[in-house]
Amino acid sequence: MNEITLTINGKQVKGKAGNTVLEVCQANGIDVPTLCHLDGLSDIGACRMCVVEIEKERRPVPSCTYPARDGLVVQTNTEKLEKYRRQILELIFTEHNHFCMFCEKSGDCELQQLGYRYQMDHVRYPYTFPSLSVDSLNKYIAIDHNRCILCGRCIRACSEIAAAHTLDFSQRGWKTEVSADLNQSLGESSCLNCGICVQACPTGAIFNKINLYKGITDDCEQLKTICPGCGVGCELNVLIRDNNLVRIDAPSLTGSRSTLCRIGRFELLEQTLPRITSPLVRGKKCELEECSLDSATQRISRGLNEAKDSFSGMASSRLPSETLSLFNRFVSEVIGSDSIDTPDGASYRIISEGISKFAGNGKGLDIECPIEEILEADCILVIGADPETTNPVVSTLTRRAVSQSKAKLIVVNSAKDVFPLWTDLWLRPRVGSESALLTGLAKIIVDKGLAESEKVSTEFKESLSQCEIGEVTRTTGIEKENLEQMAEMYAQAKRGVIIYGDDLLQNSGSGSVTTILNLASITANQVGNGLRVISLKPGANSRGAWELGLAKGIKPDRPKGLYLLLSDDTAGERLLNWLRGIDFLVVQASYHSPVTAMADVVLPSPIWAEREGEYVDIDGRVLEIKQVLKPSDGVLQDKELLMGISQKLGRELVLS
Amino acid sequence: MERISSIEDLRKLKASVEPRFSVREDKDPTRIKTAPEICVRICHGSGCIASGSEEVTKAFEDITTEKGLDARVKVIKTLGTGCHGLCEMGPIVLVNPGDTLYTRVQAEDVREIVEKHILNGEIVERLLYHDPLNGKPIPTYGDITFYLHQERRVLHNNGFIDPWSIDEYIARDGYQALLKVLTQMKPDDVIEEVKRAGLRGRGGAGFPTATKWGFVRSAQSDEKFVVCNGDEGDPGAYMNRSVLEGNPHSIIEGMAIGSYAIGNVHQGYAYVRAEYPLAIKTLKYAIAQAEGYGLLGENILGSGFSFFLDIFPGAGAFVCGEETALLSSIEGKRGNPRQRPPFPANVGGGLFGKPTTINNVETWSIVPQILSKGADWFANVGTEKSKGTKTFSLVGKINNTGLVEVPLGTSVGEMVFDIGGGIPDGKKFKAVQLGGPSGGVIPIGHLNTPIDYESVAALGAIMGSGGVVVMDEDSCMVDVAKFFLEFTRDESCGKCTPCRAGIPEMLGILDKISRGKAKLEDLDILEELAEMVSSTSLCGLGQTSPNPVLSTIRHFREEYEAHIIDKKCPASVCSGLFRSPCQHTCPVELDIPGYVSLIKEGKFIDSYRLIKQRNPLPVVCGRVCNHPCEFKCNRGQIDEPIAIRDLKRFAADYAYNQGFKYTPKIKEKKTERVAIIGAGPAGLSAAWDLTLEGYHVTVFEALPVAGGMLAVAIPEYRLPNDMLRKEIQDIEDLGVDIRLNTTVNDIDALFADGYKAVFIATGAHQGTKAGVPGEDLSGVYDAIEFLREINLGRPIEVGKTVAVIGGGNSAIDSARVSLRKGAGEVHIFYRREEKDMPAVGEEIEAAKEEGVQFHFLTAPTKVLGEDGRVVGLECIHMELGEFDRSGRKTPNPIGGSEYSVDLDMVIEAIGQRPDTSFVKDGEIKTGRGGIVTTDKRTLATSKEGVFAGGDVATGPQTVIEAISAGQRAACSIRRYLKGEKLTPLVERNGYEPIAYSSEPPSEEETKEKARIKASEIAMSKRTSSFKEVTLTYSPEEAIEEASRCLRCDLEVEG
Repeated sequence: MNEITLTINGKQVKGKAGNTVLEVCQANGIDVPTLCHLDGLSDIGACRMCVVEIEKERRPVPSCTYPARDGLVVQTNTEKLEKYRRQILELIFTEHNHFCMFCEKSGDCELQQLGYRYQMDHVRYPYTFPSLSVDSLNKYIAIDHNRCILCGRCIRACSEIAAAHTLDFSQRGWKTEVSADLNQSLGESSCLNCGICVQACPTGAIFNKINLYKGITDDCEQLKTICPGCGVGCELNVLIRDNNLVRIDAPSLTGSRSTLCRIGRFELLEQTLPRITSPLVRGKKCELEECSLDSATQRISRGLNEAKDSFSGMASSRLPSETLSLFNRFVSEVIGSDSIDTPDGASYRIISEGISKFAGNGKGLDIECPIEEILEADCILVIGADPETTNPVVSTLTRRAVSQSKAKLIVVNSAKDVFPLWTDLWLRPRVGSESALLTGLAKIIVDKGLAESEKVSTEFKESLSQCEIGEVTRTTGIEKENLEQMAEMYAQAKRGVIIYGDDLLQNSGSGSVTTILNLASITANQVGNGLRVISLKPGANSRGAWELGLAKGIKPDRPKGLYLLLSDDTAGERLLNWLRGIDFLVVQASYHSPVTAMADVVLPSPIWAEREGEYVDIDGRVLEIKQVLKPSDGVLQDKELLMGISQKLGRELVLS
Repeated sequence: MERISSIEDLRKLKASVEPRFSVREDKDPTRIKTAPEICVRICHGSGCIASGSEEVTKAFEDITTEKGLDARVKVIKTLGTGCHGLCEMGPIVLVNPGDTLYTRVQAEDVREIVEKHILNGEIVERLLYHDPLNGKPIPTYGDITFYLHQERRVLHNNGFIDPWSIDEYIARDGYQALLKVLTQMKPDDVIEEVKRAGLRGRGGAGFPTATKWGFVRSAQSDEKFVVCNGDEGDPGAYMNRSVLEGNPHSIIEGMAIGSYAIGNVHQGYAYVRAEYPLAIKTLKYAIAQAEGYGLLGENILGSGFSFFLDIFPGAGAFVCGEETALLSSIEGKRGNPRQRPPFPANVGGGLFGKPTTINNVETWSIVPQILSKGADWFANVGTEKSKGTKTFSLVGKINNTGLVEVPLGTSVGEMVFDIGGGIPDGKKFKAVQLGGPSGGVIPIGHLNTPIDYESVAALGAIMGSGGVVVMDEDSCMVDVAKFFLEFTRDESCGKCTPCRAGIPEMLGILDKISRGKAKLEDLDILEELAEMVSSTSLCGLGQTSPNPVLSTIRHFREEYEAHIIDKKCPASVCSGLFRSPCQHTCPVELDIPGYVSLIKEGKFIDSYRLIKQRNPLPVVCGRVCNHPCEFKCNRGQIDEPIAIRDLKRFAADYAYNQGFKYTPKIKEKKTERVAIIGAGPAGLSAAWDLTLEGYHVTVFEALPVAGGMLAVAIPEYRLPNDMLRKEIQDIEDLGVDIRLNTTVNDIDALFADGYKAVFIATGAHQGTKAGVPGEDLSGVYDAIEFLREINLGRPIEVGKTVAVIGGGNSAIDSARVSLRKGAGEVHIFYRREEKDMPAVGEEIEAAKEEGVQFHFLTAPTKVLGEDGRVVGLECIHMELGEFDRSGRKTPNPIGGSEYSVDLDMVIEAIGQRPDTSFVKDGEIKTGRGGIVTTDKRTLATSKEGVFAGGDVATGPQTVIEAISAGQRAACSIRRYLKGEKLTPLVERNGYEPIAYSSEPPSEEETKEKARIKASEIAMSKRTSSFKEVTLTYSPEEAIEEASRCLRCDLEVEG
């Protein structure tokens, strides 16, 4: 890293080659006001607040775009510059309608802060009072164009970070407005609700609708934890006031896993269902009635006896490893069963079978690559997966790779439209034919010599010998040309990544997984000791749960009794249907839900923000989660409750 | 098409096509009778096509194909060419042999041209170009002044060749430069040659082209681009379009040469605005032709050099003329500019991040000629720092609207007057806007400014791409600034705050100014804002957008102040300030639509009352007012202005003839007495107003008659004395005490006598002298002295042969009086040209009719005498030099051209000045020429209680200005006597309401119809007596004339 020396305001300061003047200033504690600059976004020099004088330049230049170089002589705070900045602020204040007292952002607003800094007690130009619209059709995000200063931060965040390209400017000159798609309302647009624009907005123009007016940053405690939304493991910056959630921000806009999605930013704040704050048992009138833990335990004890050896345990993969580990013991030691699973356990069993069948592998899930590899990819094959639903940040990374690194995107999905606007090749094979398609793909790659021949094992070659492309097209309904096109795109990639998910696993067996691994290995799409393959894991701690052995599976297929540690997770349609056939159901959950409605015993559980522990994310990283809220009254930590119950049942668990 | 692969191929092709040109180059008009082949070139530029040149071409072809036209003419070849430049005169048709230029040819004119001219050798005079100054037809292309002063280099093929023929381009040495470069020159040599030529970017900024190419050449990249910026978007600019349409191959060749010089360039883009469909079509065709010949594309001329060119049509955003926005646009993004650095020449800054050279159409287009003819050829015209020629589009209030090309350094004045042929309709030139909305105005005082990059910038304008908008006296500078700001406001991309939000705010302030709602402080805020927008905007559009504001303030601050302080738009454009332009222009704001309407309604007495309320001298003004109102009359845009003055005279004469006496109500009598020195129009109108206010007014007059100049300078035949006396009698009858033959020598004495305020209105009665030897001879008079003596009936012996020196109204008056006093010959000697004469046009015409002989560009050098008496005048011829500050060319004597004329009387009419010797030195400040110094709005002098107005405070002015000054003084004196603060605005209230029709004119009345000319007495009776020459309207004539009024006052909203 080359060090350079500049003279700023008469003092010699150091910077790094490649820095902008603004970056050098910021690194040296020289305050330069900015509006359109935001760390993590490209700089465009639009607002002109950061203009500085540079020797030999005819006009002031924006420091955010000006490359610093050795020997540069810079002035950042001359009287003239300060006058310009005040005038620019005056223009911003007169251009649209800025009425701080009605604004959610008041107190947190960068424009307001600059107003104070430049003592904007009046403006000398006439207010233009345009009548601009407020767009609030989106569920979470509203845009009040009256407060917009057209800095374009939302637009850059939307394209550079979220890679959604929903927002852009429409019109021009004084009529310029931020628009979604071709002048749609945000609610009817291609917006994915990641909310990055809300965080990027310096004023109250784009704001979060669901937690309005809950408090300003200075009044809040800020704590960092990990998002329980999926396996990606994004870090959350949670703002808390009076033990209430105010807002969730991404701690930084620069990291690949700190961008957040609709789940982390908005859905976690939504608490629409009623909390469970005491044990409940189903009473005589078949209704749940509050009771003591003792009577709940008695009911459980009765249930255990009735179900005898057909009692199983199931735990949400959103829970921290410590809780899951204890639950594992609870099931085996207290319930006395080795029948245990997570809702996503079936996927694990297919994946691990597929991996184990892949020649020469002993690494398990470690054979996969970290999701950051997506950003480096030149070709991405998404098969049987819907990352925007299950792991939205993976979909963000994919779009970024496509729009910024010009990666080619191939989507194969028999049931859903995934990345409809982004794909180079979009194939929809017949349901259940993905496995055949993958084999056909491998066959073409090998036959056409697109594979690295020395890596193609004779065993694999043999397994392809029965494959006949004509048959593949008949089975899949995909034309040969498309298969060949796909083969070329993937095989010729230098850093091709395959992403697969539940849709594939549910429709095809473990053979698909093996084929995928084979494909990656013969086309040199390897990274380190692993392969550029990613299986999507829906739960925040799926991988932790699986590795802790919770995905053993439930036997018999439909037990008489089930202890379901659901916590603040929700049950999908399939799980609900399955639960309906169970005679005796104990549910430990945070919210009243259709699941608790069919339970015999309901026990309270903390929500994500109220617990602590560790997650193992999609890539196997161990992440610490912090408790950010005190649990509601009457709610014990899951572990404490489980231990309490085991004690009352006379089979006390002891923490080692 | 076969590929051209060697110099030999190119030469052969050239030789085979060249013979076509011989007839086009044949300038001998007599050969049309014998030539077997005739070439008719018809301009097919966008302008001429719009005015019908395609129909004209078809007519030529149809008539040519008619059998049996003539045995002699074998071929009439019609040829659609690029723009000839005289765009407003289109369709332009050029017939050879003879280079005969026809203008505004329509299809129905073609038969006449063919039959008369082509077959019979008779030129069709009515279709020729007529000189705008003298109306004379000019048959030959090259003799038209418009072309005489031009140096057509970029445009050398325009109008000569068929733009759709690559062969003709090649026959004019096209693609030879490319061949030369590829076969004989190293890339660095090419750059060196362009550098030596001193070529600077013709897009406006004037950056040295070779340096730009050098930057890109040295940038490290295996892929580079060249771009041609054809996004010409300035209002009134179409230079680039004309080159694209008329000479497209020059651009292709230039870009190919540039690409070779820069290196690693294989692809170029021509960014042409989609509003130029013909340009795009022509260039596209030219590219295909060049590719077909192998002059563009893979391995050009077997040299191994490959270059491809594509057209990218711009989507209509002005900002895309800004290079970085243009690049974004080609990249498929929103056409927003991006901050530099990185510059387009740098890695990361150009097209798709690759180093890129962007040059304007004209820059690329001249490159081939620089390489084929050499750097010295290019640099042999122009100035030290600005070499070569530059194309301009000359538009606006100019006789010759069109495309011109001149050496850089040509003065603004030459451009406007010599090439442009001056301003139409006898209006006065005001300024040119150079550089479009990014440029600034160059006012009349700077006509000698050479048009080069540095000189133009020094005046606050920019060269720009070459749009020259000429503005005359009818342009309001606030409105001009508003116009350009509205343009830049709408064309701003909206990215950076200063431009996006600053321009609308500047516009808001300008709007306030134009509605009279602004304060002087707003001007400071405006300037401050403009400075900030210019300093901090991201791209050139924003940085230059305040130029029209700053430059109009710089050169026309007084016009801004008139809007702000006086609530007046001197050009009568800002309609928010007035009811009708005529009333607004009238210095006393006479309700002209009102009195004209009353005449139309037949209410002649009411009309007179309405006039008299605001002007105590309608009889006078009805005759001798210089009627500024009529110059602004909107009717003038349809046919001729309303005869406002004649109508006033009609109403006034009618009232007098009917014996009607207007007696306004005098307000409550006040005790204070006011002294007025001078009973001219200023003094009398002040006396009238102050008396009406209730003050006691005494007017002291040194002469034996009242009326000032009206009585002693204006001859009887223009203003009969008895009529003037009647009007003065009205004033006396109101109670004004006029003391004749009373000279005031001591102002303090007046205060001592109990006068509380004094108004000095002594006029400018002293003639100035030319300062030549012999002026003291007997028989030499100054005009003012001469006219006074005559008017007072004193004996003056008028000579047989009289010389009058000067070009103003008193010169004409003196000449015409001399004739009436028995002079046999009267000669007027004027040192400038006729068009520069300050005298009223009608008077000059009348003098000519009466036999006065004019000698222009002639000045006296000596009055010759014998025995103390005048016997002759020695004169010298003058030639015109540079422009002076008034916008006229300065006459300079031609040494050795002196000659003498015999005569016996000389009247010098070269100016008047006030005699203010009675003012005690220092007490009341006086300025140059003895003029009393006043606040020009309140008319307060440096001494408390003393006011001055009219000619004594301004130098010789008009009657109506003097009346206005009297009213202004009366207003200030009233405020002073009441102890109020003096304010610049004249209060005009307290008038008795007189209703008139609010019916707009009927459709019939707005149809074209000349004004009713007042009848005049027979010529035979004129010079023999002092009888009034012009007669008044009959009531019928008056009603008819009044019915022409468009009633602009009714159009005001609200």
